Amino acid sequence: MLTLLVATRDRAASLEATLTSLARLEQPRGGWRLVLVDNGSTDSTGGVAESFGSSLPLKYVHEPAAGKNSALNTGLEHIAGDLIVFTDDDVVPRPDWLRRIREAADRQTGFSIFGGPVLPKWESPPPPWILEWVPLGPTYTILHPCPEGPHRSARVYGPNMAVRESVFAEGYRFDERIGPRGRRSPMGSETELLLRLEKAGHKAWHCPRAVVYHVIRPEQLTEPWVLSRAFRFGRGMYRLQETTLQGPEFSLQGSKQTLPRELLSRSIAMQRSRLEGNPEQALEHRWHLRYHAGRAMEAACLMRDRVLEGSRDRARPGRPVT
Amino acid sequence: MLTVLIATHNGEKTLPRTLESFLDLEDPRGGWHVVIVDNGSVDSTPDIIDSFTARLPLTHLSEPRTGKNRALNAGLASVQGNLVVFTDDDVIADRRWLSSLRACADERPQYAIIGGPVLPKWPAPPDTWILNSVKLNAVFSVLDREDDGPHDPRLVFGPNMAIRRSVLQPEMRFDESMGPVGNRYAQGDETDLLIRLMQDGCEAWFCSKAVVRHIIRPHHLTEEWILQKGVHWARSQLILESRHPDVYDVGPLASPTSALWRLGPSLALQAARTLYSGAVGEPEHAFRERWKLSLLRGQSQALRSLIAAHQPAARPTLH
Repeated sequence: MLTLLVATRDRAASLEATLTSLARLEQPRGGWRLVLVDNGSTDSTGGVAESFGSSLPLKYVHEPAAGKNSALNTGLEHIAGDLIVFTDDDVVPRPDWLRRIREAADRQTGFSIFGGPVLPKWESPPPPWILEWVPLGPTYTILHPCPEGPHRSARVYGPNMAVRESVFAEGYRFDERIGPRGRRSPMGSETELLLRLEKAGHKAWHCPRAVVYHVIRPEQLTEPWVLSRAFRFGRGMYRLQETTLQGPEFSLQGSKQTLPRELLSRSIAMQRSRLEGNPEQALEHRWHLRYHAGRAMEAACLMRDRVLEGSRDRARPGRPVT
Repeated sequence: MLTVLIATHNGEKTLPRTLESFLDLEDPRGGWHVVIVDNGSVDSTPDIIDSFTARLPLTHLSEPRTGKNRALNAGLASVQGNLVVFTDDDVIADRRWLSSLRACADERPQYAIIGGPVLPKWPAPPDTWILNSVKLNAVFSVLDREDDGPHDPRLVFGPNMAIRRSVLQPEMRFDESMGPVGNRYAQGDETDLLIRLMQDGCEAWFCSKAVVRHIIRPHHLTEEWILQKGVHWARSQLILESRHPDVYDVGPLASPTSALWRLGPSLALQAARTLYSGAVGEPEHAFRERWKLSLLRGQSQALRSLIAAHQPAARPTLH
């Protein structure tokens, strides 16, 4: 038995496509159930979930508190089985997806984290500037297949990851202070948990054949969307780097000390490309500028938190973060 | 000092762009030098190479016997410095390509292999079916990863790989019985060498700032070319798995004759599905069925060559 855990919010249309593809999945050994956590949707999400009541082994739960990680933690209270698989509400898996993950988990008993490729499914043709200048991996959460075998946990991505139930039984939860919450919140919600697990000695395994497709919608092909993504990515990466000490070594990263210099040199390079009449090159610089702006924003937030921490107790009601 | 090594065969369409991108390169610490081995070109390639000798630190060699691996081995005799950087005659190097590789190699002395991203340089916006349904790494040697870190040597690609000269001992050479010949020149078979290095204990590091862009030609965006590439890819993949079963975790080897017999029904079934989806399916689905058929055809070619060579085979699986 395994549980598939999905958090959703106001995405009825793409959720319907995801649930339709889930209804076509091959059965993994021991069967499965789906826990769908509605994170305060105000659209027709409830109706969509209900319409799959008979075709999916579905449990529909609500978590009104905003935040994907809060929703996932709520979902963890409704799980069954020895393996918890995570995906998103804008993903279409291959029919053999769960079966492949189950097989890998059964064979690789020394590993507690499993991940697989996340490939793009473009709903409409991407404009050339996206293909040419935008880092596709972080922008659209794309991970190409790697050879089957041990893997670094930071390279397991949220739309296609599985963690053994025993890990959550130990008390591990998602950090509710990060992850998608609003339009400008930091990214990297699951990476934080995975890095904590890796630090505690849990190992990750890559299953190249357990494939999901990440649907890229037309509205994600606009410049404002791409740049806001860069900003959120910057925030998330800064937080990971600051809070886990062993964060992934992103080339985009740079250190805290060089942050002002990066911001300045990218601004200059952007203006120069604009003056030279090279708008696409300017866009590449703009992407990085927004990325570093996100890092600066997160640095400011963390500093503020530290100041506040001194003056008041930061303990929050609900589940503690291990 | 490092040496960039390129083998080229009739590269006139892309080599000028490659060498022009070299003119803008940021100098790596200790300097650099490029060795270009002309592998029996009958077009203007030799003249193109000569036209750059005044502007680049360039050595022009010639290896008339065809075979990319043969040309690379010939070039290895003329390298200088402690790092050999391999690339192809159809890339555009980022300005910081060599300086980044050098910096990664110097910062991580324990890694003998350094790889970097290979991004596609599209000739025109590709159709959506190509982006959604084509395995970009197998067909266009695309490798994108945004972070630095330890890396699987099998995922270091020919257009962007650096190897320390100290591990390229005289017996550590490209296998001249494999690799691209003639029209199939773009098909890299460097993986075999990387696996042998890996078995010797070498590890690879990924250096995400050292970017090259792989020039995709307009005719590469046709379905016919892509499917042909699928045949080649599946064939070399099965041969690699048969040569290195321990590295690929494919279980015990089988007799290639029995594997070929077992492949027969899969081929027939896939041919039927291809016909059916071609008649009634949506175009992207039909393409994927044709792609699977190409992979099976490549595997059957590999098995037949293993039978001819009296070598055991890994059991084919559909990738």
